Amino acid sequence: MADFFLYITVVFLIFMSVSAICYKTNLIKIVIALNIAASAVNLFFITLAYRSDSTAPIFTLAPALKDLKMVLPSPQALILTNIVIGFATSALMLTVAVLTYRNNGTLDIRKLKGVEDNE
Amino acid sequence: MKLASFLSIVLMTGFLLVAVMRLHPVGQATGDPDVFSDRGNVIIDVQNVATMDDYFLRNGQMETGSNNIVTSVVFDYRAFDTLGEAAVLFIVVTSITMLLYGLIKPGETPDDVIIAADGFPLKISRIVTIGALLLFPVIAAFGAYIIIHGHLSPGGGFQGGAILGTGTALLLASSYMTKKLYKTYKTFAFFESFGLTLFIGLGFAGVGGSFLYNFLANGDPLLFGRVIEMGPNGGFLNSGGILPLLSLAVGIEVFSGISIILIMLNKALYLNKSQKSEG
Amino acid sequence: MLKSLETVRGSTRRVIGNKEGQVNNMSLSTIIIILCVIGLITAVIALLQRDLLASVIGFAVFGLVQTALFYLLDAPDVAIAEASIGAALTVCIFVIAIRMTRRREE
Repeated sequence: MADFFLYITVVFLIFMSVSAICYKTNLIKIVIALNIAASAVNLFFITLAYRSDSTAPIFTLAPALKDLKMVLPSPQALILTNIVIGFATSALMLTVAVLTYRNNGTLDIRKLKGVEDNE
Repeated sequence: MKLASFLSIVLMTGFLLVAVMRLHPVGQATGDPDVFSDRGNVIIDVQNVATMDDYFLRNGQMETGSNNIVTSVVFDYRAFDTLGEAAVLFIVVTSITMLLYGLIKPGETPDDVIIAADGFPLKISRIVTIGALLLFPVIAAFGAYIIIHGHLSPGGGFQGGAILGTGTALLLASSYMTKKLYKTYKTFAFFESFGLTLFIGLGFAGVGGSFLYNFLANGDPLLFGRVIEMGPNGGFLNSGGILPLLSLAVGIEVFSGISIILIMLNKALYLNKSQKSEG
Repeated sequence: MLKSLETVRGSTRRVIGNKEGQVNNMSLSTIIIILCVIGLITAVIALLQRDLLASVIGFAVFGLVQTALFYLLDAPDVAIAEASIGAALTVCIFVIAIRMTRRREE
């Protein structure tokens, strides 16, 4: 069971984030929960790429070639772009939240008024 | 209603737990762990490897000339995804400026004195402003070091650009040069477009092979093309092909984009506060 | 100096194993398990606070724990990116958004 502890951490972080998205009523708390879910998925990818008894995929000042083992490099390249895109997405969500507060006076999702129909 | 949603969340968590237990255990990723053992200085062909990562680990240093295999995957083997990601950052900066346009009122800069919540002016002490001004060149040097050494040590364009962005955040938080910093967003907008254009231009420059082909690797040692043998070494700055140049372009673009986001949000904040304290 | 830096790269493996050369099949080292538990507790605290500024600071500590986990899982590029973007710039943007709206959750 200790072998899978990182995977169980990821599953519980996703469970907490989805519960917070369903049950919390403040917009900024929902954005924080989404960011925690994104961080959990990043941790999952890096865990998939891990090999015990290995080192980082960098050749500068690495151990000698006859006993050199490295972790997988391509999931780390995917997660690098994912982190920057997660930052940009949360910046855009927070801008929309600020504009919602200016139009409605509240950040509670139960009290937001919609657009009236023009009929 | 609440019970149904809670049961569905618990069901989803149960499915995820069952699915995760069927993966390989942590620490035993698929592939051949002894990918370097005694095969000489040979570029292994695509048909002779078990997984894609074996090909990257085995041939990444000799084909691209960089010591950092993650950077070579980001900027050479998968450079098209990096172009898409830089474009996403560009689009998000444009969207934020467009959404905040009504709040910013371009052409109007806030005063240098910030009114606090109780009506009294908020004076930032001299230690904070001068300390931030002394710390900003150190942060800029560190960020530039990480950008340009992306192919030798952990780093690259995105990390260095984000570190330079935190330098701008420090200057905005200390309110040292508010009026002058708000007028610099035109310079940042120019440099953001310049960075993305430089990236696409370097892509078209190697169009004899393909778009974003590494045409400088294993060529002239003066133009980032030193030949690297397989194995650990001390790191040579003039290796890597177009990897340092692409890192530079992405670093300029990410720095300018993050600075524009922070300047626009800060301007909306201070104009919002001065309106609320008046009316 | 090159030699001392070489031993720094491989020393994490030797500290975990008892003797040098002994293939230690320890599944996950204890420090990774401790960091995972701290990360879970910090995420729970960050989501349950009523003061939004305290929630954002809890999110920054969660980012710090993620950075340490990424470094211990042999991914230094991702650790630098998460430290500068996840723990510094995201918190900056959240604080500006909280200042433009309310601080307490109703």
